[in-house]
Amino acid sequence: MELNDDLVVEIISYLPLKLAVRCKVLNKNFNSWISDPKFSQTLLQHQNISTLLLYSSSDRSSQHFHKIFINPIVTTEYKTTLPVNVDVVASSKGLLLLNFGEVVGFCVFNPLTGAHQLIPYPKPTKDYRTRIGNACLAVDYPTSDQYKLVTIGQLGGKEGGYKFQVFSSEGSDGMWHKFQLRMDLSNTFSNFLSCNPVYVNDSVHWLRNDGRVVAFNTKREEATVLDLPEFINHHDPIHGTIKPRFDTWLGIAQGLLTLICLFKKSTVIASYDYVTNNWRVTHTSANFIKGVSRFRHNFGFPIWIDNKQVLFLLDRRHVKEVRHLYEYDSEMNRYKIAAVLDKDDRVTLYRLPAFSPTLASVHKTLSAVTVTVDLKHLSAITATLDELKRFITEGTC
Amino acid sequence: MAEASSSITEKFFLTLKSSDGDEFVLEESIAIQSITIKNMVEDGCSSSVIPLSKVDTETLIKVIEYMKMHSSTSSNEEEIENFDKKFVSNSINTILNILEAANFLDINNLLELCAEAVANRIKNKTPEAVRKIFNITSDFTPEEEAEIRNETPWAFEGNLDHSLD
Repeated sequence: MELNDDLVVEIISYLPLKLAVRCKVLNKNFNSWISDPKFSQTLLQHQNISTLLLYSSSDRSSQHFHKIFINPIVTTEYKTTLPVNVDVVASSKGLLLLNFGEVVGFCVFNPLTGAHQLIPYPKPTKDYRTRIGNACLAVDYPTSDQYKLVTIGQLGGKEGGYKFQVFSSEGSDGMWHKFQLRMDLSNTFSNFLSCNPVYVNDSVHWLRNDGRVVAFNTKREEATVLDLPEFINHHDPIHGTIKPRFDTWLGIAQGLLTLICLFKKSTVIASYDYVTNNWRVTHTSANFIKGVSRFRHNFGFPIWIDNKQVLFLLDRRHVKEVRHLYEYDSEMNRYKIAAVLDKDDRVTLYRLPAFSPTLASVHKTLSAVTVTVDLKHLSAITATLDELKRFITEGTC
Repeated sequence: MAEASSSITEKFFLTLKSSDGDEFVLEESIAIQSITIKNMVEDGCSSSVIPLSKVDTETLIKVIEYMKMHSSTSSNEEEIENFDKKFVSNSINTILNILEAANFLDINNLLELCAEAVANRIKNKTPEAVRKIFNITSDFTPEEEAEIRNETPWAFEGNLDHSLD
């Protein structure tokens, strides 16, 4: 029957992602409606799209990727070996930030559509080679189809402070732009940034090892340092001081910037209120992850958080040759084992990005930043992206 | 007597007229689930019959059934759930008619129910079958269509159903 096109689009927005995308071929109007970020926003509201936790492992010769479905948690047998080693540096709204190393640099990649953009490191490259973990992808989708790549480094010289380099998908010159935050870092040993950055509330956030958070607003292109959470002074740190990625972790829960701190006796979860500019403790529970032993036989840390779920990876290989994924249910205030990871894998810890597929677009490389890659490398990179795409979409959509 | 009548909530009734000319009397409190009807009542055009020129009798009966079930204070969640389940098992054409009526009458939860039900029915259809069901004409050249398929080949994998029901 003849139905108003708006109503057909409404119907399509109730289809699973894969089938909705298939409707792009109906005709030209449907192709543009379905490609619109606003449509994806509606589509996402109507369904629970599987979120994946990606992790890599390596043996002597090669690197493998694995995936776990979260929401609910299902471990899978899906495993792949990529032609070229690649780091998944960050994940934001359906796009992955990959690092291909010194040959190419960064790559923004949508594993669903296969679209990608190669972006060389900002200069001087030596600042970034060793601190790839400090790069973050800020994707505005589905509000718009823009994204920004932000890196952080320390300013040299007497004055001190932070320098940010920003690459924008909208930039007509295709160059990295520099911004500075001057501040005295000399009185503190807390200038080391090592935890994965977090993008939320239009800002990229990096955790310092004194518990303070450096924030760079990607819309206004301004940097600030958030206040120290008060509760940090009220508990005994495990290592004498707070150590990012050992005791402290930054993430997103229910759309809020969230800090998880493991103390000797307790685990504290706090979220940042951008209206009052304050940290607010949301949950406190016993520290089940590790004892106060000097030896890290019970070693664990949070790896993913969303809504009511917090996942902790607990590494007990030294004792039992197993690695457990624990789920903390904040409503029930309890932990349970959610998955057991392959004991043979040398899992790359700390960096297990959660990925939810979307149709976020990736912009074509502009001529000014065309990465010069020789053909041999280019074909290996293409093969790697193809395999990563196959691996991620398999069983996902 | 005056006291007794004021303690009973007075019931207002509306008359809805389908495109086939059939009239249905319905309590106002039930009918105003339709925002279109609610606006008409508020604008004071409900004293006479409300003509629904875009809704035929068969469809209007279904819509009224739905509104009665969803407004009645006596129906519990389980009853409503079972009703909805049965409601969407109508033929795809009936649901599409109800969907159009729900859009015209502005009954949001009925629109959502029907849209999701149709989505479930067309889930495994080929794009060709979907075009036929909605009477959509493709304006793509075969090359253009192939290009779109090539952008996201994963979306076109798997077995599909060619039938139109």
